[in-house]
Amino acid sequence: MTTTIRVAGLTHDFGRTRALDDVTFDASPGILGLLGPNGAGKTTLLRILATVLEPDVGSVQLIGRDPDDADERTDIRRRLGYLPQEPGFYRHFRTFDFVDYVAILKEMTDRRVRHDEVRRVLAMVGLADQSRKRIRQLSGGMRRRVGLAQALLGDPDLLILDEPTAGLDPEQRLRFREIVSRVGEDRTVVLSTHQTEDVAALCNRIIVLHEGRIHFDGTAPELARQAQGHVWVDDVRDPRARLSWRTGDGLHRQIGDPPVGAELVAPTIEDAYLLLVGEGANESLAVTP
Amino acid sequence: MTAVTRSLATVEVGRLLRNPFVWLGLGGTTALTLDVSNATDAARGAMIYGLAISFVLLPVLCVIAGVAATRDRPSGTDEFLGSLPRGARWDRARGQLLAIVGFAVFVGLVHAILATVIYPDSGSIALSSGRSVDLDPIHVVQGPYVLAAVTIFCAALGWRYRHPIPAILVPVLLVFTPVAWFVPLGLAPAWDWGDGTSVDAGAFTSMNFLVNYLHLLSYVLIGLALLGRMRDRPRIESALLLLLGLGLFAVGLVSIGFTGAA
Repeated sequence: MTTTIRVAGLTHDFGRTRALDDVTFDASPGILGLLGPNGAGKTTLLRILATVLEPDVGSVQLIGRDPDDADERTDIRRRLGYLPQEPGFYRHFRTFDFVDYVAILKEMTDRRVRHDEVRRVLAMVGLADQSRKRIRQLSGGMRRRVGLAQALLGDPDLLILDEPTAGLDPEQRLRFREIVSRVGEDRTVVLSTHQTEDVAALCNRIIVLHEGRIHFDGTAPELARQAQGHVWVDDVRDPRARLSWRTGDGLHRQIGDPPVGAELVAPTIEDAYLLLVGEGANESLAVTP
Repeated sequence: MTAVTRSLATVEVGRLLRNPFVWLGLGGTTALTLDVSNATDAARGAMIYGLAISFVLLPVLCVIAGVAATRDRPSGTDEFLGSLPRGARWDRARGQLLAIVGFAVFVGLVHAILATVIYPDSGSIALSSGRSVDLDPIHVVQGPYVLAAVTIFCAALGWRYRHPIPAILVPVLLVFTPVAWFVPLGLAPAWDWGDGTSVDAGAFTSMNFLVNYLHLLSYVLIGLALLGRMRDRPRIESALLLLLGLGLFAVGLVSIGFTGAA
């Protein structure tokens, strides 16, 4: 299978803060989910993959090309779709006009072909009937979909999505999953999110970033297994548990080192994620490639 | 010129042509042109001046506000544009400038028509004393072209600093300049300069002084705007643009009516 992303030893600092620390991984067509708390380095990594930021140290290869080389970088950008965390829309533009504007900037100069493509991506994200509305009139969720539409222009080989489901309602999130899963069948999609359900539902591979380092790299079931034997339920809150919350059935779900005889339950990837990056995270669980 | 630049210029022109202010300005220009053809000779010069200064430049204002607003980059836009193929930023700039040049040529043509076809042989502005001030075509066009220069200056600032505020301040000039024109001319007969200078020349001097003063004031406002005092308030900016545009329309009409009746 073709390797779309190849990064090795990526390190990047913002002043005295180390945003990425020796990050190494490869990615092939499919959906790669980046999980991590705020400040974990997800956005920095995505910006490097989107060629808008150069790493201080380390090498990057995208779609078989080197972004350090100007011509190859241009070629990468032609085959890249990027939805930043804050896309910075021109709010006075109409939806269609904005996506059309981006299409021109992506070098789609044939008007008829371009308009067909704009209509296609707007229909894909379910905004065909909103195409004449000004962006400032759209809800936050709709704006995210406009951002997704522009990222999908030209069927990119590499789709990079930073917090794409932020602000989407459940129906919109399901629609988003449908779109991304379709793209991810033969393209590479990298998405960062806080939503473990999205990652579990979509991604065939998950990387958990924490404090700039990779703490886990594997599949969703493998991530869940990280918490095997560390999740139990009880009638009362266990003070020794690292995390504990009362669930809808009145029991307390607890994560940490269980007491002898505890009623262990099957962990979810959310449990494993909390165990990896939550307060008092268990460093021994971290799996680096 | 690349195909991307041409496509962007087409989009920019299309956006400008969809701007209602452009059509308001062109409609106002047409209406006053018809009105001028029925006016007395004494009032015609003033009406043409008012026409030129108040309405023909309005589309230019809209062009610049529109373009400057496109240049205005909300948070995150730079990052987003940075992921697009090489030259996207330069292509945008070139496309926008091309659109401005196209519109400037159009407005220049309108001015040329006004100056050569409609302008009367002996245009004059009627004073409240009953006398009149003869104006040659230079007088008639100097005001609009001073404003055009200031407009271009504002556009350049707006373009450079990616903010529509400088362009939005242009209506301030457009509203105040006719006042600076007509009020001193109307008051001129009461002024005694006492140095042998004619009253009419004094009126023109005071007019120029006021215009320059207002321009200076606008530069200060532009400077304040560039400091970002009104940044991140696009709705207020739009409302301001609308109010000032309508104010300009009303003041233009009132000024012309006042002078024509004098």
